[in-house]
Amino acid sequence: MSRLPTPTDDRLAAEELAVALVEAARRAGAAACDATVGLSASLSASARDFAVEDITRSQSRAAAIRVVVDGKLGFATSSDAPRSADEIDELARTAVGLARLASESAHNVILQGAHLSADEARAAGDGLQLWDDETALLDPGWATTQALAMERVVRGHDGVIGVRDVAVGLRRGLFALATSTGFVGSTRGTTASLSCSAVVKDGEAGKLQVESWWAAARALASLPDPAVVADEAARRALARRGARAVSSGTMPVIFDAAMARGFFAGVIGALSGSAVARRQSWLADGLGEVIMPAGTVLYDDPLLSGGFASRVFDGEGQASRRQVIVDDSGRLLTFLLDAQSGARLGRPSTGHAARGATSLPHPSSTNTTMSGGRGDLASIIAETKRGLLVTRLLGRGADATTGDLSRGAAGFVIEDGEIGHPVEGVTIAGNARDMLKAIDRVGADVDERSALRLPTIRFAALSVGGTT
Amino acid sequence: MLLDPGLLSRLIGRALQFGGDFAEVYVQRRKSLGFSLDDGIVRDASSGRDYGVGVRVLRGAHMTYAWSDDTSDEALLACADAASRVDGGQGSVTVVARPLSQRHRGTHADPSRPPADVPLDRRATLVRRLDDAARAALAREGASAVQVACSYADVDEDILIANSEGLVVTDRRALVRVSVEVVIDDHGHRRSGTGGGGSRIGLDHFDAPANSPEACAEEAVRMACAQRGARPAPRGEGIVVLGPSSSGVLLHEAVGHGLEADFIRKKTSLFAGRLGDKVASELCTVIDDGTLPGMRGSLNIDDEGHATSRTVLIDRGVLTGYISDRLNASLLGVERTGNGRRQSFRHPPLPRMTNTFMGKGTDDPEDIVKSVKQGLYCRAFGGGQVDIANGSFVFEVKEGYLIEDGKLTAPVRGATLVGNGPETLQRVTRVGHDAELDKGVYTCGKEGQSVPVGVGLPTVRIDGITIGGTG
Repeated sequence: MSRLPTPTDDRLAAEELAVALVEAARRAGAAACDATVGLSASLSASARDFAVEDITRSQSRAAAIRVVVDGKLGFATSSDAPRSADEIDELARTAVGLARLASESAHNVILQGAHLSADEARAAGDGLQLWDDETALLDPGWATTQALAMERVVRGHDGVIGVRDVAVGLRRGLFALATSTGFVGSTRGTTASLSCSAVVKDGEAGKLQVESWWAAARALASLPDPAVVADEAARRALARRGARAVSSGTMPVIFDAAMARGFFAGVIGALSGSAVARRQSWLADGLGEVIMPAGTVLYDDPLLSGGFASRVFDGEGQASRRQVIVDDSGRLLTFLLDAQSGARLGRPSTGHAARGATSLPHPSSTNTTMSGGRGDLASIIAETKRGLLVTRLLGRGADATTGDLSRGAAGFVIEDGEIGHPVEGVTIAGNARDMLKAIDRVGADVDERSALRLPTIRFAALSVGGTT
Repeated sequence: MLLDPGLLSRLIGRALQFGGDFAEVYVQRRKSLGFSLDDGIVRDASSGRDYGVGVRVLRGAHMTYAWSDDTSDEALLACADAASRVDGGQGSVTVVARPLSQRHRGTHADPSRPPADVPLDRRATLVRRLDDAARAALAREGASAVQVACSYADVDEDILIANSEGLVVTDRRALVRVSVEVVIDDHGHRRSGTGGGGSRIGLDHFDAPANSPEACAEEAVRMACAQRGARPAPRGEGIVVLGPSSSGVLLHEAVGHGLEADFIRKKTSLFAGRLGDKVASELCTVIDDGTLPGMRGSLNIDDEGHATSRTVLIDRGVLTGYISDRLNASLLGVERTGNGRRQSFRHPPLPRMTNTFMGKGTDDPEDIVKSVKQGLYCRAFGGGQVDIANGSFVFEVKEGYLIEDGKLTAPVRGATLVGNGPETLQRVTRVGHDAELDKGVYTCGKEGQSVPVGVGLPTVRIDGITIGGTG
């Protein structure tokens, strides 16, 4: 195994480059600007037919400069981050040249950053447990062993005839930000993931059913055994045999935690300040309103230990803090704002600027959790006399502007509090605003595999389209 | 040359140091530019430079891939070393790399006026023209605008592909696109419309009146205004008429993906092992053609350096071909069709569609609508998704109308089409003579890789498809 470069040195070098880019942009005529630098490396491995199918490795070093010149915004990126003073100056001049072609807007602002030194930011980031030395090694031996183990286990199940994807991913990355207002900070993290699919024959006509399962963590030690992931993929695929439609009607519909996450991803999108400012949000008039039944809380916590979106400062250098989005009376307390969307709405940034090394900031959530529920999928099914359990959705989410939603769905019927036959080829339809209010049951079985952490939810009644 | 020939040979040699059947180096230097404008303001002007190298080694069905956007000699050699460690694969022969020699290529996808040759301010003008035209059209229609969002994007890139079989080929590729979305208020309801277009020929694309920013803006405003008074869509099984051109996205998703050779080889497509079988109504002929001059999905060569081609996938209802790349064609023992594509040097190639469309039929499009007593006419689609294993798909109807007694009547909202690709193709009962490709706006996603594609369809009548609506 190769020795890693000492990570602290990498962080200092990235911070220095970000500062040099800011200085160059100032020299080129941008009084207000910020710069980002990203360094990352990843490894993924997949298995098929009991051998390693492919291994992909990557190494990336990218940078970007955002400038505001006379209220005009210019942005230039380079995937091959500058190395020389000349290259640094060229990127800065490109950004300033582009700004001159944009329109003037009072909403283009570079904020005063958090009162945090670069040393403090690094130390605070280390406290969030986002880095794992073992994961950072990107060991192909470990990755291939896990992938092969998953495939062996999943194909050991009676009825599983193959796999679509069996993959293991490892990544390490660091991000540095410097602003013309004096903020300098860097953050780093690792992620590891296992995913496994199972292909099952469904009847004699050549029809197949494919299901998959996955796990993700910041540290290798936090991942489940590969057999657990493989067993779950096989179980889910086998359960889908004989799936058919149900007749159309209006009925209680349960979303398992993964489907609930998909639905709430749409809610988060509608809370994004840029969508609200453009009036392309079905929650644009929702601030201060009751949008959900009482009893649960939706909160955003960028300081969650080991969280997939944890960070000490946001993409514009704003300090991170825990914020309630929807309180336990169901009231919407805040939109998610970065500097520009905040300025457009006449509000301060809420510290929700998400940003990659080569992207402009945009408002988004960090680690968002729904808490306050009780029970789990099994107990909620048991409480449901007749309805539909949705375990897969096809198609896009709600229309951003209207909230109208109509998606293909698959899952299981529920009869007398028990799971019945598998279902496919049906649609569920409604309006996201009405659907939020129709949530009548929330579990405590929060799915912690990603930054958006939802439990099982049940809608009291949704329109299900199937056979007539 | 993007990379010194001596270094290319060294990289291929290093990639094969521990054996393998094949090694390839893919070099890409890309310049991109984008302007986005909403509420009449050019929010940002962005430019990107992307330069990097991907190295691939194959041994049987095994692949290793390594890429680097650090393009120093040391980093590239380290990248080739990383790719050289091919796991497993017993009994495979280690090839000796052949000397590199430059290959010729087609020119059907060459740009006539590449973006990088046009001054920045000339390109910025296009996004302002979109906005001006959209606002003028909205005023003329008496529509109250909630939002007008416009964008312009271009890419100008140089590609070099070299492999252990001695191939070296270079390509210059351009891609331009404008898009506009308008949202209007209709008595408290929001209606949106989109327009746009682009191609590979570069800035000359917008000179044709039908492709001008003004024409794109008119289309967006037409679509939004046509939906005023839209009522909830009916639900249940019914007759659907798909309008020409952009409805091709349905064919792309519900049928095209299932014909990609990787899904066939892995037997996760229901079309696997069915060459020669009747899989669609005999009215249906489906073609993938990467050689159409200047189209968004066209390429001179694919991302493995192989010439693109015209492939008949379904001929009058009979399955006749697959969409293939090097690896899957050789493992399946089928012909290579020049469809090995990748998003960038960061990604290994996959079998992907180029321009995929249904050949024209003989019916008059108006007669097709007249033939339907009660049904749904779909003119534009939003998002969609398909499950390749069982062919089931879901599509959001962005612009749809009721058909009543052979006439288009009320616009509907919130409709989705739910069906099964092959079953739906079997139920095609009429095909119009108005086949055409879309305006050049689609991007196809697969395994995290996005590539530009063209889609196309004539007017088509389908007898029996599930409509998911709220009405």
